[in-house]
Amino acid sequence: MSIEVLGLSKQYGDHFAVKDATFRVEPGKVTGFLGPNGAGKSTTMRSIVGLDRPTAGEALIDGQRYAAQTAPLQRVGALLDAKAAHKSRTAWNYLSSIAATHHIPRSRVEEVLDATGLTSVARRKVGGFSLGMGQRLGIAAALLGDPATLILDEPVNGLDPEGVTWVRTLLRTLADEGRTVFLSSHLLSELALIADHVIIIGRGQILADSPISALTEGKEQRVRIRTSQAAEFSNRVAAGGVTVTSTERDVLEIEGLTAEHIAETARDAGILLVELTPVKHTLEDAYNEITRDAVEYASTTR
Amino acid sequence: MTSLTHSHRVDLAGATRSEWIKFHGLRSNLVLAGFTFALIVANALLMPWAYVFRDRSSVQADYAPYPEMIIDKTGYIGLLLAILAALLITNEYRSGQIKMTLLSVPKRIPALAAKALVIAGVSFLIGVASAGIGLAIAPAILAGGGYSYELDVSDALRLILGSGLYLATLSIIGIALGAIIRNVVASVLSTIALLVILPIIPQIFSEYGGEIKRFFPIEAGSLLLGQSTTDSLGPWIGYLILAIWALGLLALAAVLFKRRDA
Repeated sequence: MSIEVLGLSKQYGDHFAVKDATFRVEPGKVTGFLGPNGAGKSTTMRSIVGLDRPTAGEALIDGQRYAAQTAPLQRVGALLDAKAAHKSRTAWNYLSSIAATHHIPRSRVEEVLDATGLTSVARRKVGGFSLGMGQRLGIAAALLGDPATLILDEPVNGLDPEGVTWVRTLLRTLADEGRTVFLSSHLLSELALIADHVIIIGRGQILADSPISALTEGKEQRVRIRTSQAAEFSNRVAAGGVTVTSTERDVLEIEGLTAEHIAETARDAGILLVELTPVKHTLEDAYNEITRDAVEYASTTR
Repeated sequence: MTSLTHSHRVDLAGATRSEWIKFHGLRSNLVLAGFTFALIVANALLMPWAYVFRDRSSVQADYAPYPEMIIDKTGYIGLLLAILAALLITNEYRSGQIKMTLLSVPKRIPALAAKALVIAGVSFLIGVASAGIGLAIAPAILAGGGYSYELDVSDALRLILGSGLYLATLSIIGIALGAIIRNVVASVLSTIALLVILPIIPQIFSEYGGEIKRFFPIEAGSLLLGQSTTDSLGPWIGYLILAIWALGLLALAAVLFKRRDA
């Protein structure tokens, strides 16, 4: 029940939206697909389910292309575009039409409406739906086939806080049932709360593929100190393997020494430290480091 | 959440049912289809009625009534169903629904075939029902003025089933143009251009314009609904020309539909 992406490339003119991407999404986990806007997340997901035709490479679901599946909706449920329904159609009509392709009974349509909290608006036209309701409808459509794999492009976009929690719980439940859950986001903070594993993409290339906990592992801890004798202290600790940076007046960030060693050095030199804080290398730091060179549309204020 | 117990599979029957659900789920589709039906029936009632009350001194009115006049507007009214067909598919591109359609039927060709089957089926029924009603009622109206026409069984079948066949085939041209062009307005304009405007253009530039016009979809296909003596091509060669247009465009549409990114 895994998704395998093998050397996938998608080229538009001489621009690569995705370039030679290879990765594997495993069942039983929530895998986040993270990257700045325009990094190639949607193109990759669209290629996996055959909406886009890759320029090179392929994507396999359980060893088979999506289009070759006998019951694609039972293998993969995809949310690629919320509100992908004609606005004059009712939610019921939209879901029934999808279910009909696979001879899925109407009782299942009722179930997914119920599971997504849309039962009371099922007979209303989707044109009147809010962004959040549209997103729920998209998730309902993805769940119709009771699929072993879920591919969701920015699923919490436009959801209210209650909806975000609901999606998070739902995805966790689905992963715990042994399903493969693959969701994209451009927001690290969001993925950090849901995902077990993260694949980072930037400028169409896979930059990282690791458990989310491993992203911060092996990174040197930094220690932040504050002293009026910053320049002098900087000279004291300077040595091979130690980097000292100053982010503001009287503040130093030291990498390569333990907090204990720094405190001892200050005591021995008779320098008073008014602050000594070990700074954890955050996920944010790791992400920024990985994507630094790959931000397609970097904002100038940064 | 419970799981689906049965093993399901996607097939043409499922895709066709899906397209039917989508078709009747939009009121505008039903309105346009119903309007087309009403127009053909209205013509079938008005033609004999006008014949009864015609100005007898006019040379144009000096002819015997004949059954083909009851359905003589079906050819051009069919344009509405071709437009409806083009809208069915281009509206999906506009709304984004095409993605869900292709996710559900990723082999794609069955999805296009299902759309064609649904609109062709609806058009066939509109043609058969409207022509049947027209030919059933018209003799009574003519009889009110003391007129009548002869209609043998084989001609009655040709006019009734032919109306269905003609409209079904014409609607496939709309589906094909919609799938090729993908834009709502452009595909509707192209359908009108191909069916109504292009046929008369050669007449502006060429003395053979009239000859060329005979081979356009509406002109050729309408021969199936006209008097057998109208054109030397005859009803069935005429229909065959329409069918070649429809299948040719549908084949091109299928190739593009299969190959392009959604």
